[in-house]
Amino acid sequence: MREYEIVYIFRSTLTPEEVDQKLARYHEAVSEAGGGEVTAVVHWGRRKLAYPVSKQKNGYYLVARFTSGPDGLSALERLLRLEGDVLRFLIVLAEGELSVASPPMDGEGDAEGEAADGQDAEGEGGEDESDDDESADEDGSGDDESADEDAGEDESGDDDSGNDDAGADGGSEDDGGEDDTEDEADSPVEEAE
Amino acid sequence: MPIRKPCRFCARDGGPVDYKDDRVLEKFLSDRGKILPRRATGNCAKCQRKVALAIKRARYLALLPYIRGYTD
Repeated sequence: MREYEIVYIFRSTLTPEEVDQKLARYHEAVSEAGGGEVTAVVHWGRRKLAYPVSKQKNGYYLVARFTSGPDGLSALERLLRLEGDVLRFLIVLAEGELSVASPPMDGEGDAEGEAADGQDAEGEGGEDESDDDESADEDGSGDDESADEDAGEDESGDDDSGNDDAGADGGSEDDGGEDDTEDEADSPVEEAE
Repeated sequence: MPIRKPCRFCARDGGPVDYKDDRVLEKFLSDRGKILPRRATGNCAKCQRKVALAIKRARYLALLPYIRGYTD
C-alpha cells in the first residue's frame, strides 16, 4: 500500500458539486479495487490551461491524495479514461506534504474556496469529505491574490454552488490580466558560477 | 575559485520539487518554454533532474507550456 497523488483536470463547465459527485465515484472505485482511502482533497478550481486540451481553454483542477494497492490504480485509470469530463489526470507517488496553498488560480480562487465550503456544509456524506473540508478552507484563505487570466463565460457554474451564503460571484467578477508569462521578470536563476 | 553556492533547492531543504508549483518552475524555462540548462540555473545535478521531471509533469497538466511564442 503506497500513497499516491492524483491531479484531475475536469471540464471547467462542471460545478464543484458535480465534480465532487464524480470524485466520490472514482474514489469509491479505488478503495474497492485497491483498498486504502482518500487522505486529502484540494480543489484548485478553474484555471486557464497553458495550451488547449481537447479544445478546452480552461480546466477545473483538483488534487487528491490516496492510498491504494496496485489494483486500485488500474481500476481508477480505466474509469478515468472513459470519462469525457476528465480532460487529463496524472497519478504519481506522493512526495512530501501536499501544499494546500498552491492554487495559482485566476481571480476566482477565493470564490472557488467558498463554494467548496458551501457544499461541505451541505454534507454529502462519505469519509473523504472531512479532509476536503479542511483543505478547502486553507485553500480559500491561501493566496487568492493571483489574478491571472479571464473570468470567462463559465462563471455561471459557481452560482449554483454558493447557494447558502457564499458570494461566489463576487470573486469571479474581476478578470485579471494575462497569464503565466507574467512571471518571467523575476530572475529565473541566481547567478551561476 | 570561489566556493560554490548551494543551488536554490538544496539551500531550501533538498526535498522534492513540486510539479504543481508552476510559479517556481516557470523560472527555469526560457522565453520559448524550454528548460534552462544547469549553467543558466545554477542547480546542482540532482536538483536539476528533479526540476526537469517536475517541469515535464507540469507540462502534461497544462500548468506550463511545451512551447511558447510559436506561430506558424
